[in-house]
Amino acid sequence: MKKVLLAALDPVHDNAVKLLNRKLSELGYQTIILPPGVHENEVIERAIREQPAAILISRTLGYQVAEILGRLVDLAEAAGLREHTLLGVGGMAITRELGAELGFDATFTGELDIEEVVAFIEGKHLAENRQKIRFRHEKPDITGGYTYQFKDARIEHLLDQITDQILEWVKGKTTPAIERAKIRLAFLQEEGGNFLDSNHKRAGEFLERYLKWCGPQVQAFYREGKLPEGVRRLNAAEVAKLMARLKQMDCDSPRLPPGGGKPLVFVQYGTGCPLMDSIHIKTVEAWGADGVLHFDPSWGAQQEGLLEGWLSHQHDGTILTLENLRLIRSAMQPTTLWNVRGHRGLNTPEVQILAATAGADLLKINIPYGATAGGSDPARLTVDGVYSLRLAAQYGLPFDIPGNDELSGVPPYKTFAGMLVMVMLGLKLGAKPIPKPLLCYSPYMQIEGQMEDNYVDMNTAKLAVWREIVDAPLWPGEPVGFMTHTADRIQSAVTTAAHVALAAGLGVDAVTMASSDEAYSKGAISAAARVDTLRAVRDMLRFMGNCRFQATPRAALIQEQLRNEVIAVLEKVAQRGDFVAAIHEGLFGNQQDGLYPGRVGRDTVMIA
Amino acid sequence: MKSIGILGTAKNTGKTTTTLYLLRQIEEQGEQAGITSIGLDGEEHDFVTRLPKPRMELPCGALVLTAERCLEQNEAKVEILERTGLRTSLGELLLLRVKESGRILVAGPHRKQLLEKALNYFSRWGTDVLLVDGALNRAVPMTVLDGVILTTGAALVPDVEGIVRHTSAIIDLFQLPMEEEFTAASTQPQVVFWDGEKAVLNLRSLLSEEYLPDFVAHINKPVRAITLPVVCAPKLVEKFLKLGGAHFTRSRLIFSDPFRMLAGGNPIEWDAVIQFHRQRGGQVRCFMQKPLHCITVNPFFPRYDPQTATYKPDRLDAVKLFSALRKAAMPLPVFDLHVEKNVDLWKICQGGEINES
Amino acid sequence: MKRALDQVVDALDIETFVLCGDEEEARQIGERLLAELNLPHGDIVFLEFNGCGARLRLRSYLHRPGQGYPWLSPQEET
Repeated sequence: MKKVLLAALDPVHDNAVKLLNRKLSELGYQTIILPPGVHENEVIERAIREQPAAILISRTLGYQVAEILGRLVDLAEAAGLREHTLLGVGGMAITRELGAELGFDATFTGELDIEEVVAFIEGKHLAENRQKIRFRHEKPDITGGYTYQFKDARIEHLLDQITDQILEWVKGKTTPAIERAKIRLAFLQEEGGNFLDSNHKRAGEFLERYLKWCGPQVQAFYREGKLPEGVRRLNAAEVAKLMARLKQMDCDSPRLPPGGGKPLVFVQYGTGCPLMDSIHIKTVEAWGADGVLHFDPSWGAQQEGLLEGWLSHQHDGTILTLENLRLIRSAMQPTTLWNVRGHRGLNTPEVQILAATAGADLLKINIPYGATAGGSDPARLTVDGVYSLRLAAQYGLPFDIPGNDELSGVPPYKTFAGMLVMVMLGLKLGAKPIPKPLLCYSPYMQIEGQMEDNYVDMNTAKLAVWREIVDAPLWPGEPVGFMTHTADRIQSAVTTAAHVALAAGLGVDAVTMASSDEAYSKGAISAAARVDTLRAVRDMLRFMGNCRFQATPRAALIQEQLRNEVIAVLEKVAQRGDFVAAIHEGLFGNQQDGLYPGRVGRDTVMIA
Repeated sequence: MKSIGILGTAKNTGKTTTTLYLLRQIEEQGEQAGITSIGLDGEEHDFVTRLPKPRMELPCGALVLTAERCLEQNEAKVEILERTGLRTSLGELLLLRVKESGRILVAGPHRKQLLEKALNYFSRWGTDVLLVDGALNRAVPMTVLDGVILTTGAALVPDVEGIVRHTSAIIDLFQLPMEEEFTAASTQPQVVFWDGEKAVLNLRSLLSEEYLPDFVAHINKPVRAITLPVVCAPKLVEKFLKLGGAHFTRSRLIFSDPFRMLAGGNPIEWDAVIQFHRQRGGQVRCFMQKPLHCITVNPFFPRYDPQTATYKPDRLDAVKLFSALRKAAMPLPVFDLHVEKNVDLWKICQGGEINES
Repeated sequence: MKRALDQVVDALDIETFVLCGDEEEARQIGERLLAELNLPHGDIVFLEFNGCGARLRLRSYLHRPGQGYPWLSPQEET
């Protein structure tokens, strides 16, 4: 094996050289390592004697770096070494320009890349030599390995009752959303995409049928081409430029540590523009995210019907159209998981269809949340929600159940009760639920003083109580650490990283994390802010490794209390015997908790 | 083809000015010019913008050898004549012809072997004069060229005496007579004693003190000559001579060439060794020499002002500087190309008469 | 009123993300950005390139230790 001479031309710093020494030795190279602060004359003297294949120099101090290294190169030349010994240089003081100016054969910048060094020693050019390592080979199944067995018989029984009533109640009912969904499905089956596609024979016919169930704004869009405020169409040239740019990007990157598969790290997107979203998605992929969640504008959920085409929106949330979704999907790595939100509002079933058609991996449905904090009428969303669950089951796509109503002020046990109903409902319909307890510093916690000492106990208890109740995957979000972030970049990244690490230590399957712009509301989240938190999370997970946060004994007490309180809510709901009424009456969260039953879509449930 | 190395003693001594001056004259003569550099030509970064500036505005028709990645900084229109297959850290070296004048970042062959091969490429494409940009502390590859021009100035050291001393020392190295009697029998140093005996020193360089006592042990009688065709640190040579004591009196020291000497140590240190040896009746020779055609000097230098944290141009007394330098360098011509516009540099490099301005 | 820049104790940092093909390009963009913004004594404090773009922290030292500090002078009208 070849001989390599290593020298650090700094008085003290030779860690890079030591690391290189270890890695090269492991690969079988014969390494000679000189002590730190060695003089360039000594390096050459030794090299003359040893005749190595390569001399690798490290220099971190900027002082006199050009003089010292220049002298070394010239000495090597003068000693006749350069005919068979390569000269490489690296270190904090070295830029590519400096290395080239001084005449080194290679300059190494940035983090140590042993492949690059070896290719250099072997005289190979990395571009030819390097096989692209693919870091992700398949899409993980978050629900894989879970039995969904309930471990708490009492809770199971109560949920059984509640969900039987729901399924009985929705029989024979339909809504405009369901009718639109059926039309959409039929159109898709005839290979239709755009209702305004003049090339499709029956597009016009389908459109007429569709518009019958749409609200005035959507009708105006299709009939008159009227766009909502702040919305513009993207042109084909813009999209083509994006696609061309995306082709140049190779964002397959290492997973965030510990690399054992859990937790999968998700990031939300929804800048309003699918082009910007695509770049953001590529960015988060490059920095280790496993999946992304699509967020749409709230006004879209409040009108009957969906728009179509490539549409860009000036405010938060990217409009749900099949074209936007397809565009965004094409920007992603094939192995990136994709969740599309459609759990509240008037278009839930149709969103599931578009999402599944565009290639989503996960859907999102939570009736109690959507029917309160989400603003949708409880009756309407119950019918739509059940239909959507059936769709999810048909598509074989898991659906997640967010618990963000806690942010209104709802105590966690009420939120959890609602989420458990959705778990059971989903299972009965053949779907695969993923509960998402929110790890947050909610108004309830603040008012009740429940998290005064630390954020660990409550969050630990919240996750533990789920594990206690049912064998199901857990995916805290969206995002974890909600209401602990400020607009300060560092603080925001720290709290995100801590929450992710806490959840990771507790063995969750996935986690949704914020950017460092989480608390900034006057503009879209920036790409830099996304990188900030992914980096912070990477380092925090590295810091923790296989360790976990140690909760105090209080966590167990909170856990027990939560469980009891969940049961109490479910008992009330079961006793009420009417799920929709239970929502209206605030059993899943009332006015005092900051929740009001939704009104969008009121009186729109019909007999089928 | 004639090749000329431009050796700068420091940045801002007028290397580019000299190169472009010469390029213009070569063009005017109707000759085919070629240009390359050892390493990356130019300031690493502009003081203010911190950008790598392509310094060389090359004329139409010039042949340039530069690394592939430098084309990203290209402002001239060029035609790629040949891909040489020679590689540097900035990519493959390409031989270009300038079709439309502009600035090009020139990063050429970074070591002697490559420069040697590069000469063939230029020659094959009909180059009459090749200019190679270099620096004093990167001088060794220049042994393959036909001659050199030295550029120096206040940027090296902002005082007249310092510049004169340094320049004189360099001139001295390039004026060391060529050895005619002895040959470098091997790549290892050899001692020839006055009594005819010879000894080979098991030395492949003289850069560390470690082996000095061993070598000195060989010096047990008066030395006639000692060949040192290896890289030497001048301070160690001096020590070697002192340890050898009287045995070295009136001996002849033969080094390989001034470039290798400069690699081993700075000119002032060599000057000290050479003077020391000459004072004891000794001689100093080189196996190879190259003509030092002339010296160009820049009296300006950037003075750092800590108050404003900026650089301000300053200059030495040009009259005093040139007067002292010309005296020390005589008969070697010394020019200030910023002021003297009619110097026939080209003729001088061809060995023509000195053009007094 | 005094210039705002004079009230900065020492440095101005720019945190951003740029699209580029590789680390070298990112570096060049960073340097050009400092130049375009006319910021003196600029440096790239941090750069990480991954696949599609680079996270950059650029710094401009407005007032270095040992220089005069405009923020020590009394308030002046300009």
